Amino acid sequence: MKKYLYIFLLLLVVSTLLYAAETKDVAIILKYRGDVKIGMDEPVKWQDAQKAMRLNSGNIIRTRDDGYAAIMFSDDKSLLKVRENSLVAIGGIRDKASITKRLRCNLGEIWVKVAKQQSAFEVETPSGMATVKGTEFYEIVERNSRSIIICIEGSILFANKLGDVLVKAGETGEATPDSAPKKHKTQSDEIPTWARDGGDTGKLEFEFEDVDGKKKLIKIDYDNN
Amino acid sequence: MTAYSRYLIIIVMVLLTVFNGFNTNLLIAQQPILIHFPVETGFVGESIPIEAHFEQSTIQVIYARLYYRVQGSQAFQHVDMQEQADGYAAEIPAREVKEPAMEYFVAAVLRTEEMVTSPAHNPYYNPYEITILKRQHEPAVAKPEVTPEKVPEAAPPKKQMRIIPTSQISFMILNPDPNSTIEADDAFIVISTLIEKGDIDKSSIRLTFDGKDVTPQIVVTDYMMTYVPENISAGRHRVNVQANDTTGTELKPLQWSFWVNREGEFTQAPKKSIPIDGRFFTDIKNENVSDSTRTTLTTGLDFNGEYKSIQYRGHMFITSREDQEYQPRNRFLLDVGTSRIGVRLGDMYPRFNDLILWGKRVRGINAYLKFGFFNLEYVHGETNRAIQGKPYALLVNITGDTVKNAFGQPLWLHPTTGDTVQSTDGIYRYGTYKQNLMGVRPSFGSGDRFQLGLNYIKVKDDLNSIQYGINPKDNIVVGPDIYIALCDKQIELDAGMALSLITNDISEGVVTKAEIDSSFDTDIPFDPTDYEKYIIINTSTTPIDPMKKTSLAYNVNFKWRVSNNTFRIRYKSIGSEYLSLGNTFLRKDIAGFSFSDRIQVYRNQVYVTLGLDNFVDGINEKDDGNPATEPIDLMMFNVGISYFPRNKMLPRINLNIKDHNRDNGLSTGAEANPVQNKTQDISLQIGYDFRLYEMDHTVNFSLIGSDRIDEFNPATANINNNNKLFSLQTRYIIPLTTTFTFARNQSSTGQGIANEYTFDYTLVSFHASYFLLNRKLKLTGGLNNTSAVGSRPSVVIDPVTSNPVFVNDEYTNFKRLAFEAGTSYQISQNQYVILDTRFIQFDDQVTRSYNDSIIRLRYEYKY
Repeated sequence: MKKYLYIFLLLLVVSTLLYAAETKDVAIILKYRGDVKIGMDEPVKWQDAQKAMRLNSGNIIRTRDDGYAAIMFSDDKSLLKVRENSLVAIGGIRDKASITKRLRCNLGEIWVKVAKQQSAFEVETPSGMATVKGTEFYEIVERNSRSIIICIEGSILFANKLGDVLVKAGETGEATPDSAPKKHKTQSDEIPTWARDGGDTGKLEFEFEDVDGKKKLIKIDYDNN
Repeated sequence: MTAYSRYLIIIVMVLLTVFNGFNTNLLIAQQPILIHFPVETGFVGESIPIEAHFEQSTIQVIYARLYYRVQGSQAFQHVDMQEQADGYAAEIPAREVKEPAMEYFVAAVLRTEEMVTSPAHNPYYNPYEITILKRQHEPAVAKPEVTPEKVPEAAPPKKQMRIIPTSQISFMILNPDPNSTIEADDAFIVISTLIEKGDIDKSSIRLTFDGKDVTPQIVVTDYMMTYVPENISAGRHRVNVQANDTTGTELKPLQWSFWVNREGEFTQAPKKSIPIDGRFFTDIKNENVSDSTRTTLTTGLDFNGEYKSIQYRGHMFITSREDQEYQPRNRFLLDVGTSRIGVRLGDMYPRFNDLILWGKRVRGINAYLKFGFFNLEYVHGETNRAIQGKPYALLVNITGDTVKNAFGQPLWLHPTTGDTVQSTDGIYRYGTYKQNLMGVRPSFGSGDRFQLGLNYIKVKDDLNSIQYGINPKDNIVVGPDIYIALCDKQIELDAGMALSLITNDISEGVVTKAEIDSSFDTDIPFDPTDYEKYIIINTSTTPIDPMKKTSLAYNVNFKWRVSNNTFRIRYKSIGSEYLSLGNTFLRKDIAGFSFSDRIQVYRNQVYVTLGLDNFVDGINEKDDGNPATEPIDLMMFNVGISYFPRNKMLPRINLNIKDHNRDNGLSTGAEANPVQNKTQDISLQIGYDFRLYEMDHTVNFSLIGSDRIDEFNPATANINNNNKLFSLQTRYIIPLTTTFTFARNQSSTGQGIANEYTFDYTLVSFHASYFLLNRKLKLTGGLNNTSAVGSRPSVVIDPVTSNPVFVNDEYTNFKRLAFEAGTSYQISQNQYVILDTRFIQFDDQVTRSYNDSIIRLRYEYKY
């Protein structure tokens, strides 16, 4: 039920973004791995992600356990990487040569690298709105709707109806639907690294056969960093 | 197609019917005829191709050159035109193409020692004009490929945005980054077209991947194009994107490379030991013209590259028509340097300033040091090579004695015909001295906002280089120049001054002060023998007294950009005896000013140009009413209006009117040298793009008229010339392009049955090109049907009265049918082969008829 509620909310956000006419080809899938679905149309129809797939404003990216997707915006090469078990809606309104971008991250973990900004870039979560002033950050939306923003470069205005906070590089912002955003200095062990330099985590599976002939599957999680 | 555009086409058709004509520009008098279609517009920083050809294929051309300059500049520069299968072609270099306009003309020197030009009359002072515009949207930037060596090895390669400022944007590469190394799975092409929807003609987009045309496989929408190659291999891959905007203007191609890893292996892109790009070609042309056959072999090599801060380029052009009897046709150049220091070896066209050294070909060395606060440029080399003269052979009798005529003068034998001739000096043809040039230019300031330069050149003929020569020269020129830019270059001022000294015949050597003083009844303050090592001074030296300033030249140019206006004010004065052999194309004995304003209005869609020139021709003459010395006032006024609409449904219009007046004030007609003539030029050009029946069409229509009226000598000096042109180019859904052209030129010189020459020329042509095999194979074909009638006055004896009477006599009346066919094939990613053929049937009712054929085969390799 909650899942359908998320989808409904996503569609609501998306429908407002679709108000603008020029919403085609706002982004493209650069890379994907595992189970990545793209929600299109209304009512939503899920399609498997494809290499070089074009995304229009309103499309939704859904990743499962091993899913991963890298998305590039077509106006300024801003990058969005979506980790497994995430749900993100792409919003973009084209104004001549630039695209005003608004993401809706309902669940999961994303990394965003914003190119030198010519237009607004916002990320909406259940617990607040992040207006990007800077360049690189991670955003984690937990299942309890708590949102965490870890700013790597630049700054982000993180706001909800209860207040706002400017999260700068080296700081982490945090908010829930019921509390105003607050921030603290980012601890070194808080900083994710999965998206850095185009790298991402993955899993390798090796099948071994022991002396008794029993097969064992060994799974190794790796991180390119 | 809108009703409006239909109406427009109808209007154009009606105009065509009314004028029954076309425009081609050609030499109107007698043969030979140089045909050239004037170019209307160009864009800042983009080269402009110029083509011309002779109507008669029998013409033997020594060289053809394209002369060009920015409007308002002092002197023309030139480039040699390259011979093509059908005519000659050259480009005004991109770096030279600047606002507000370029002026140019074409000149060819024939083996018959004639020179023909286009425009045919007074090309130096009345050249063609090309309106130069800034693009509303900058074309796709073909940024030079970044080779692996240019990326610092220690640092991770930065993401290259490849984005152009918003006001000039066009394409942006989204994936893969130029010169990046990626996995095979990530190797797909994504390009964002950021310009406003509709500004790129989507049907014109062509994408080649590793040299293969993959256009059918790309997916193009309004904002993006993608291509996903199948089974991509490891190694380097090249992408090339070409497109036109909706006006049909070709955008600069977008080119880049990337590297794909071998599976499971992460390797850096292999490095070239020396990064280099270039082109090699070889060409064979066989001409069967006028019962003679000539085969020409040509080969050339161009390359350029950059290693760290060192840039290098080279050029080689070798032709079998290289002949020691003429100046070099082969060309060589090696150019290596950084922004601080560099050297060029070979054939080059150095420029100090346009009074002293400007575009003269020098074969030698040109070196520079640039430190900003101080710079030094040096050039040394040969401007003419030695060409031996030819003497007649003495006619001797059987006893070995010289045979003489009745006046006791020796008789000579013509070297080719063997005929007996009389000659005072026994020289059949004088040779050309080897001529050397040395120049040096120290300067202060980087030239970005300020530079003060001091120039010195010395040009001297080598007396010992040939045996039979005439008037060997020695020339020195010295002078400063300055450039100042203010207010972010909104205001620019440049000025130069030069003083020349030339000895027109150094064969007699230097003379003493006493000889000079007695010859010219003067008292020069020095002894020429003291300065012999700098310049040989004798009685042929001009000026003999530099203090009279007859060999002084100076100019001041002021440019001011304000609001939508660009004002230019120029004053120049070139003395009657001023001569620099580093720029022999400077008009002498003239002084005056010119003013122009270029106004951009209506969102830069309308350009209005106003110009006023007022010069005195004969600045050292006395303005005293004496017909022998009266200077001539030159007054020119021109107005031009150009409309280049952003709305593609509207036509492009260019209208120019010029009015020239020459008058020396002796208006009675009874004086010995009265000059009063007026020339009016008018040109109207209309271009329009439209889509009809799923096909794209471009129609061009132009009228160019020139009328010169001479107040005192209309019988021989009046000239009238009218050109009309209509062309229609159609681009079909299939890769077929056709062009239909109809042109007519009518001209006359002189007036009255005893003096009038007329020429009437009509051309109808149809050309088509078609692509096959994924655009690797191009087929071209065409038919040209021309006819011309030229008449001149001729005297015949009236059979009734036995009195001489003038009649119109046709000196030419020909029909010419030319069939052209050609093909070009892309053999591989880098290799091309081109075949052109042309067959001509020439039927002249007055002179003779013949059939010609020209075949050219060319191989080209790009690397």
